[in-house]
Amino acid sequence: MSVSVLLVSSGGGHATQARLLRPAFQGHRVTHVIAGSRGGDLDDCSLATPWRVPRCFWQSWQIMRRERANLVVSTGALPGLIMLIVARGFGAQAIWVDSVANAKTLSLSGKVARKVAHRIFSQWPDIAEREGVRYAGAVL
Amino acid sequence: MIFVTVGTQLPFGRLIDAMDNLAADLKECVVAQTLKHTPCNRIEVIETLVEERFEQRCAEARCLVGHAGVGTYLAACRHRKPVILMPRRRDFGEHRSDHQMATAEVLASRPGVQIVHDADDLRRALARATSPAIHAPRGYETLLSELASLMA
Repeated sequence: MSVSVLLVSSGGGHATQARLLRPAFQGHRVTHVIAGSRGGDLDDCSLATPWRVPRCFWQSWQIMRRERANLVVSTGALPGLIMLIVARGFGAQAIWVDSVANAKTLSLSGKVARKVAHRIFSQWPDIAEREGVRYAGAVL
Repeated sequence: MIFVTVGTQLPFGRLIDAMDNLAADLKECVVAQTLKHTPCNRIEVIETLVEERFEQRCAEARCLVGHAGVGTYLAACRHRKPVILMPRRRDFGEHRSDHQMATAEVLASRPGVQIVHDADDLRRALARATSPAIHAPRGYETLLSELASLMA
């Protein structure tokens, strides 16, 4: 069965990492939503801009309703976490791959994602062991 | 040409100012993506770049200089350019945490990467930046195959 995959990331390094994960989903329909991209349908938000969070939830709901993804994978940051929360509501499998930029601790969003996602990956073995999440390798 | 990038989230005045000051002694031009309007004397400033233009600038550059974001490093690898990374510091208000210091520490030993912490470091690094960054991830294939198995 072909799976519909939704990759969600912020721009910059988060988006680059999401792109590097794309080969894992070869042969399936993959949509990559980049938060804050020009003309995109998901705004960027962070702890520095908490007032944007409600809108991100609404936009995530619209995207999930449209995409009907079975598998939602995010490399962060906050908009990706929001999408995973919404994805759970749609019955999709929610996966968090913590950004490789977090070499010392799990990201803040990643810590929350632990309560939301079906599976959490850290890209650093020592963090994975300490935090009780999965390590399978890294894009870096 | 030297291409400077501060990423997509926050401006990084300390890096841009340092590059602007050093540019007088460089024999090549400097183009900087700064995220916000930054008055510079010697370098060409662009606030934001769409992705295609960003890739184009990377391709044209002899060397990339940037904040120690993973995106900067991976861009250098994609284009096989030397890269100089200056980690943002939380105590200077340059980011919300010191995670770039950790990234810098991890990348310091990779080929083609130089880590700098101030303008003096940067000046020395620019003179030495000759070998390209090469993408050599640890366990990339295993990560991909494990993600692929989630669809089974």
